[in-house]
Amino acid sequence: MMHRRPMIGLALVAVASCIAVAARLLVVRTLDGSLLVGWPGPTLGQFRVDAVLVACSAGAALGASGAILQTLLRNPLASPFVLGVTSGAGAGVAFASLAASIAGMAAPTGAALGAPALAGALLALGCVLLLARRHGVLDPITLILGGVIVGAIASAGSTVAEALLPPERRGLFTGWLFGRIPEVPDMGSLAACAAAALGLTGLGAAWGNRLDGAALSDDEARSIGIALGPMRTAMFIGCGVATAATVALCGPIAFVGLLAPHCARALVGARNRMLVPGAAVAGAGLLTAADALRQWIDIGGGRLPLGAVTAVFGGVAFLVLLRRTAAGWMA
Amino acid sequence: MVSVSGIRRSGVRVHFRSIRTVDRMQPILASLATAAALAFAAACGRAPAKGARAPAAGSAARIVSLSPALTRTVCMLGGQGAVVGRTPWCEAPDAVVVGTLEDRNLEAIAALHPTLILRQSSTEDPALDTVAASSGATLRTWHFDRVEDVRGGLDPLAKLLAAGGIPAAEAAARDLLDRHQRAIAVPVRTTVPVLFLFSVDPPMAFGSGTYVDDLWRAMGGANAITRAGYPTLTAEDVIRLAPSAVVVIGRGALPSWIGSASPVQVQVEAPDLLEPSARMLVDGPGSLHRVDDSITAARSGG
Repeated sequence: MMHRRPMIGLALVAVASCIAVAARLLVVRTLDGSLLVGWPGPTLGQFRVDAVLVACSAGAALGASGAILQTLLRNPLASPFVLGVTSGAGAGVAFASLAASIAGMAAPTGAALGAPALAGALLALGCVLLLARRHGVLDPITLILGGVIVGAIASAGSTVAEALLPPERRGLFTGWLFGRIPEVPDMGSLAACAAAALGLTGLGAAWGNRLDGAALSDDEARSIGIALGPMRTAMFIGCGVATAATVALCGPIAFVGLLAPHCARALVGARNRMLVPGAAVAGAGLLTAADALRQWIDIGGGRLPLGAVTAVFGGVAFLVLLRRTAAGWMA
Repeated sequence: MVSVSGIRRSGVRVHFRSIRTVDRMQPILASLATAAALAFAAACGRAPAKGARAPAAGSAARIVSLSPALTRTVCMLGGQGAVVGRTPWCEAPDAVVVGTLEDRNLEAIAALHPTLILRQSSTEDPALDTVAASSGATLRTWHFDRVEDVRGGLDPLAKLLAAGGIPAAEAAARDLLDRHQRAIAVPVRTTVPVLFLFSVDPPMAFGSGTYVDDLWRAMGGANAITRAGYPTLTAEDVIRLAPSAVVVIGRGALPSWIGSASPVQVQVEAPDLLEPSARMLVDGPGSLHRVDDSITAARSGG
């Protein structure tokens, strides 16, 4: 039986996310500094709708992944990036840029970066999952360590590739590292990300009770009949693939996967049946709000990089949450 | 007791496994150590071969440049043979790579016995100052950003080169400035606002006070971006701006939305417009004239 408080909390998260979506759809700041409120017509409106679809898909995937990983790894600081996926994607993009440079081809940009990013992300994920297998079961601690090490090696590869890029191409790679919400996305990447977000959220909600049990110690979880091995494998692969799809679509986006589960947990509680959908909705709202803020704030260089907005505002919001929930993250 | 003995047994097993692992690892570790030693020896051996060249008798100037734009300018002033140290991106193949402005190899620079060290920076670099002082080298910091910076820097740089044994540099500087003046004296026919992008995803523009803006305005053109610097835009910004023409400097496929921003889109591959150097002064106006021709033809339906 579902309690009323989580439902109210989920409704609050949904309302806040809807406000963020409305703000992104209806309010922009023009280059001359004036705020424009209202629907801009079909052409410009389509850009905004596409940007919102991208932000919601990517944010939901990151939020759901973050909630599941924080539960499975029993670590409130876990985020989708502990799987080394982002660094792997970065290495894929850097080496693709380097290969294009050596071959005398134009630097890949936009949607063309999706394929190398996805390839790098999935390769890193495969390495981490292989490293984390112990006696046929994925071990959470080894997974974190493997993710950190694979991420570090991939980052080192990115750095080497970036150092070998000519100066005029290095800016493109650096720009990709900041993350972006494309207004004209590659529809295949968007569909893949949306499908991954929906699938992972559905799976997380359906297996909510098992996830709750997995948050206990391994022995306790097994004693109540939870088969940890298959569940961890399915969930880690699901989180990794969803994160890889997000990175291929938007580049690396900091803090959303970490912050969204905490926001949702504060409102819907720690039961995963509601927490995972709540984190997905919160992630969608947070990323959409960050993209909206990015449209409004201009400190002289045009639009702020998305990664800077999510990191600054996400970091501050995380500190506030940390202060308010100092008694413990698992209510 | 059960758990204690279990831990003890487990500990013994882990111990034996560790020994077996070390046995298996020994050949791998030895190979890695040998490879590392060979790489180190190769690195040590390569540095003196190129890096410790003594100054050649009679050729006074030995230039280390930590900026691709400055290296190119020195080469255009006739100093290519005097460049002994460079960044990986400088086009002076005979010179040794001594790192970049942010990550320069001070030892390698000192070993080159430079007489002139060139850099582009607005920050202090006491370590490089020390190397310059100990080598007896002149350290000059330039800031090539706008057209006036490059134009104003040519003559002093040429004088430095001339003092270092490259007398033709001053005449070369005068020639470059003459060619630049002649090139920008020919006005463009496009007087409507044009948006110059050097990246399309995200769109990044040459705003006012940039070298492309300087050149374009000097030739009678108008820039659609009136704000200073290199602003990052969105596709919506570009469409709202509604420039009469969008010029994309660089290669690669144009995004579909560009067509909604302006009826005229021109893409030009012009490396001279991607670096504020002497090449930009001399060849940049020519590239912009090609842009002007394309815009004019497109606007007249040709």
